[in-house]
Amino acid sequence: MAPSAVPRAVATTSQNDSEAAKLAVWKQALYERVQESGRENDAFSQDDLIDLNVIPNGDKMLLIRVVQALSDDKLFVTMRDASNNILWKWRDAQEAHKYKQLDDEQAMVYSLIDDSGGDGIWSQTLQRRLNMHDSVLKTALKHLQTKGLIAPFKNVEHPNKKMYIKASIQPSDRATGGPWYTDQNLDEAFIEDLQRVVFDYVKNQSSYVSKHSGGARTQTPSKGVVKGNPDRGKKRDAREMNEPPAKAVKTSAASTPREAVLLPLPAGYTGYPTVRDIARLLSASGITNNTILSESDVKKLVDVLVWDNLLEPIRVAGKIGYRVARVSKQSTDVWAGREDPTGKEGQPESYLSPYTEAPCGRCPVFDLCEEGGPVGPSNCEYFKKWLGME
Amino acid sequence: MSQTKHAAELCALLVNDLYGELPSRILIALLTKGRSTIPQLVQQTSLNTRHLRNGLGVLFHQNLLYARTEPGSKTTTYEANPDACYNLIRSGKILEVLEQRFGAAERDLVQTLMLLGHARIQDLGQAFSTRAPQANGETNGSHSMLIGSESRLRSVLARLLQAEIVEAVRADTFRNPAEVLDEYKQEMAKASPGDRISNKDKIVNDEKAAERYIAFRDNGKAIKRQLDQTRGSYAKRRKLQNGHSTNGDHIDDDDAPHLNPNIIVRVNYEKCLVELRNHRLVAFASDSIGETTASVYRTVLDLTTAHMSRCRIDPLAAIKEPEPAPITVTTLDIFDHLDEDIDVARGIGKVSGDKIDTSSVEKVKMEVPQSDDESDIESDDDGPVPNGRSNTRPRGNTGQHNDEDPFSESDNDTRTNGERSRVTFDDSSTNRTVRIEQMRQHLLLLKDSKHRFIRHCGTQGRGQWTVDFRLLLARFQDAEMDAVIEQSFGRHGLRLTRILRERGKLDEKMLYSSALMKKGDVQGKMLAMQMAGLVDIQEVPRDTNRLANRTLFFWHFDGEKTQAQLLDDVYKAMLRCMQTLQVERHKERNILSFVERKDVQGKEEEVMTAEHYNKYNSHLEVQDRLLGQVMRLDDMVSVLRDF
Repeated sequence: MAPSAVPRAVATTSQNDSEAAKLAVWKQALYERVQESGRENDAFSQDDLIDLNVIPNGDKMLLIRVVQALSDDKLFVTMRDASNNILWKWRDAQEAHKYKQLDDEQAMVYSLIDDSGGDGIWSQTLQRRLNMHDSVLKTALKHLQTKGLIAPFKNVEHPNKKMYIKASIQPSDRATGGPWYTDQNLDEAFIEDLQRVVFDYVKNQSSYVSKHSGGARTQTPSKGVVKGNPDRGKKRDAREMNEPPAKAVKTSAASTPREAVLLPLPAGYTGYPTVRDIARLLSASGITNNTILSESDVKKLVDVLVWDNLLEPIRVAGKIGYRVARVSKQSTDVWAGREDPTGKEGQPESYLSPYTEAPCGRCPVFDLCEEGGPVGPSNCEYFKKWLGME
Repeated sequence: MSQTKHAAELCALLVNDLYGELPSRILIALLTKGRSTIPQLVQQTSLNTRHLRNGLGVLFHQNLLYARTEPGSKTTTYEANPDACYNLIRSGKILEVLEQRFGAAERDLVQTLMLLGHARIQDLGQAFSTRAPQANGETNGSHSMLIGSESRLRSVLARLLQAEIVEAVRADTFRNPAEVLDEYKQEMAKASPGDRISNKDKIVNDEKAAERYIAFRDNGKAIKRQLDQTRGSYAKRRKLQNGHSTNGDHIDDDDAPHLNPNIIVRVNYEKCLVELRNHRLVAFASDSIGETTASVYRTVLDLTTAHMSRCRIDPLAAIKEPEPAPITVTTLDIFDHLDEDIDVARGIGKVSGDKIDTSSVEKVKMEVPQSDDESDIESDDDGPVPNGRSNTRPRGNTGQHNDEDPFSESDNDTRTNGERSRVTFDDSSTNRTVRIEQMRQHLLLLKDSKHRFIRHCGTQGRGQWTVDFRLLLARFQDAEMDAVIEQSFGRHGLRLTRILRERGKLDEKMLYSSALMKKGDVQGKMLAMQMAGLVDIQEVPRDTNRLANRTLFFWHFDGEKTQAQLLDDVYKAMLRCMQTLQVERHKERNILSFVERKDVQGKEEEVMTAEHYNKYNSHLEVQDRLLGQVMRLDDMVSVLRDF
């Protein structure tokens, strides 16, 4: 491409050449200036174009002719803004070439598909906008497809609609649903497994595996209050606090038959994994072999775990880390990667409500249950089962 | 207080279970018809007056009624007291908690009072003096625990009076408090001059009435105040006999105070509920953090609630009685009251010191957080940090500040863990420092929990702590609700309701994209929850045509409604458990009536045939199971309604 000074020089000199040649030069000059102005997606008004100093003396008639010629070559796109002023946008030369191959109908269809970008456009919308006959639209679409300009695809937000997208671009994240979708379907197994991995990771990072507290657990009643347990025994020496935690984990793995329990970490612990840590773990582990999870994707995943009451956010030293909820009740087993169809094994322990444990909380006919009615306490099957009398 | 059908039925059933059918029938009439006189009751229950008076006598004696005799006329109206009826179910639990907190003698006394309803101190003395010699062999054999002498009774009673577990009864205790307040308001209105009362005057009048009402309510505590003056306050005494107070064998009976033998006393359930709440919260802390931490928490709660006479603010007195200033306790105080057998070194994992961020741990929050949002997670409010202490202190006590500073500097050095470089000569004092520091770690853990069990609200005495009960209980209620939702609608149901709670009303599209669930699954779950009344849909038309495709649909979750509904369901579940128990009893009535015989009691195994004995035993198991379940459901009711 020529530098910008040249076309202006050319523009100011050649007055006597033939009209067509002159026009071609103006066209070239204006197109390049517009491209160079660097405002890729910006529309130009008439004044903007004159301000580019390509058209001498601000000659509006000349400008109109030049712009018309450019529009004919599909290098300029005409549009209107909200207050009905006419604006122009430039189009890439290659794209313009594609338009030139097409007849009018095809060009109209193609331009709508082009405008819809990565989200694609529904065939019905095309029809409504263009107000074309069905068969005309169909042939146009077919033609465009055979030329390799557009491609049909499926948008996850509207899985039943026939959508078209420009063949040269990738569907947007919104259309594909991002990394959570495989073949336009929400990949639930993938999400579930990832959640387990994240949960296990956070659990390991936010708790301390203790092998010697097993004794204390068995002594205390489940109701929880410990008041003066007589055989709680010796206090441990403060020096024990200095002993490196790693050692305890390693040595006791083989030796102690006691069940290990998880303990909370002291307040203010800075090592709680953040979303970034989790994202790094996932990408390093290679679980997500061909999908790339961004930090915001991982945040979504973690948010869901928080909503599930499995993790809880905690702010330490200005950053938000995550730790496992109800740490002392969680088992030390891993949740992920189990060959268990029910999914119950290794599942995190959640707080049980007494209401749902007894028959009434799970009773399907609880609303009907009334003494003297069709179901009632005197003939309740569920209570019988629960009390072991059958 | 308006009662739901199930709550009323439950009350009647409880009374039926404990005091027989006659009082229960009267109670049902009172609950359904409201305040009635005896002639009205005769009509409603078709009982004769004599029976009716007997039944009312029982109810009255057990404090299950409100009664009021109009000064002008001679008629007396009766009204059921549903809260008192419900509290019957908690008797066992209250006794258990009191025994843990005070000792067997106190428990024994409260149990006797519960059986009697209310009693004169003199009569109590007589009851115990006749009972003592033969009773202790039978109950639990531990001789010294029980009340043997008159002076012992008085000292135990004084202790309970001071702890507000027991209160004095007067004639007007049996009036409905709402009615008393109304009467005061009317009197105020009459007294004020002019026919028209301006809004401002009305507010002033209401406040005055509330003031009088508070005075009326706290009348029963006059005796406590008197005792506090002569004997020193309860908390002080407890401090003096720290460590021994739990097992009453040590208390010297000589200082038994003189109590007017004509005073009538009864159990104050409001204060008992405070104790029960502590118990529940400790269990909750144990569940979410760990047992050692929970036992530290127990001490904090005991200290902060020592002077708290009720769980919630009395709604009747709310205008004149603002939310009480939070009671703060210092680390050293807590340490002094901490049971020495608790090994505070346990229960927290170990990490190297450089992984601890002291400044964010020690952040002090002076203000009660206004709402329950997770603001301190979202916002980066850098609250005062104790290392810059001098700025955070109120200016008034700089002198004290200087005195304390060298001490607090030293604790900064030894704060985190492990690297204690100080060489110490006095072993016991090091032990103490180490122990305090370890206990402090538990306090910080409580503070840092998602539920915010305590709040770090000052730096004096190595840190001041307080409990924001209202917010804490709100979170506890949410946890209970979450558990029910999770178990009835699965993890996904919980997820969806939590999203709605956090974000407010949401479009379906937003819902499934943030929950990472399939559209169809979300729709199915939401529909199921809508059927159960948990969530609801709101339609917002985009234009006036109200066409379905021009309408936005928003899901929302109504926490209050769900909670009320859950509460009623729990009542119903309790009711069904009790009814099932009755059905079972009816089925086994032959065996049970046989067992009730005097000559069979105590030697069931010898007298009964093997078959019958097995049946009897399995019935006992069923009963334990059902009653145990009722107790656990009551835990939920407490959390959802009372605490």
